[in-house]
Amino acid sequence: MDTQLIHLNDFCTSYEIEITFITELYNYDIIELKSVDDHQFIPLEELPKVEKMVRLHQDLNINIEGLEAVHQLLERNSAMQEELRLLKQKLNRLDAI
Amino acid sequence: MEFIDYYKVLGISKNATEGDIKKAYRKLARKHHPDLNPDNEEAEKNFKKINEANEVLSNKEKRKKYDQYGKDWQHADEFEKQKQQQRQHSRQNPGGAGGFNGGQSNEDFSDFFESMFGGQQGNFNSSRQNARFRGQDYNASLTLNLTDTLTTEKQTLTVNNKKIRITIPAGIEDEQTIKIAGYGGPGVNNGPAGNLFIKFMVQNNTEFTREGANLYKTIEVPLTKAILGGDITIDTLTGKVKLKVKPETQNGTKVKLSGKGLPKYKKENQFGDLYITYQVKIPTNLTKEQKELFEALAATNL
Repeated sequence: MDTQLIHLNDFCTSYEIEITFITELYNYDIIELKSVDDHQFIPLEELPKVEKMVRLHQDLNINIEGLEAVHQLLERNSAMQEELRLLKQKLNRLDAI
Repeated sequence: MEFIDYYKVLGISKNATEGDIKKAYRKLARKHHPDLNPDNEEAEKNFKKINEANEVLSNKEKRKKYDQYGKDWQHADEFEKQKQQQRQHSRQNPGGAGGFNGGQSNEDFSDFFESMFGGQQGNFNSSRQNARFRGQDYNASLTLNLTDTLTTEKQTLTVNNKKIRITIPAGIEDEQTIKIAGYGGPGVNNGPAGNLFIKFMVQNNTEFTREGANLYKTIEVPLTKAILGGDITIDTLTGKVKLKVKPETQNGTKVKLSGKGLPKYKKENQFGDLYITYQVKIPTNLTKEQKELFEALAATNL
């Protein structure tokens, strides 16, 4: 099944944000974009992340460099949460002995 | 309806300047922004409060009205009655299946705010309150027994009056979340719908301890059986199993029963293992005869 693609223009119009801001997110490897026939699209599953970055930029005035750092920290946080969940399970098991 | 002290929310004094308000808001918004505090409901609530306070205090007219009437807002009672009626109405049309806590509150403003300034204003700084393209994500939780996760099950849930048929893969773990794409709030400007996230709470209703797909249990073995060897029967999740205890089995010996654990998540026909730990039971309340036998053993320097 092909991934649903969101046209960059539609997204940017709705969020009132410059297209260059989104392409910068792509250039910094924060998000993924897909090009089809010289048009750029946001894959549907990437959309929540793109929206998150736009919200952080618009709500808190965080620039691209800041977003890159935030992105990396959030990824690390999410990996640590998963590790914590697994360690809790292990601890539960050891407590039960 | 409770009065909200917006100055307190932002941690500023009543004579704060526009600049003070802006500075306090920025600082708190950075701290509590939901995107920087994933899965933290408290932060989300705080963020809404901060936005509401900023919405009122950073707007000259609203701030004036709030300063003048805030503490004893006259339409409070009237508003409260109306709100109660709405609640009763929604109780007559409940949603949600057994054990399911669905949906999400859409109330971004407090009752206090709404009674004073009317409903949604729609000019929050934050884009989070209302969808601007993709629809809102919904979060829900569902409680299951561990024994319900042995097979893949289909279940119909009602979320915001919409019936959803979901498949719960066998082996789902406690606090695991699954995403149901497109079952969140509707999008705007031709944006796609949001997603529904269901967090599973798996309650262990068995006598085993769980870690991932593996199960663990400690079994008591009589002293004589540990020394001389013999058979014991244990319960697994799929029925009874006979185990051979080897002669001279040590206390704390671990035995692995391959494939007798839980199904592995999204790996069909693959199962974890069951680990049995033998705990040798030291007998108590010995008869005179038994004690004499042990004394005889002791005499052999055992």
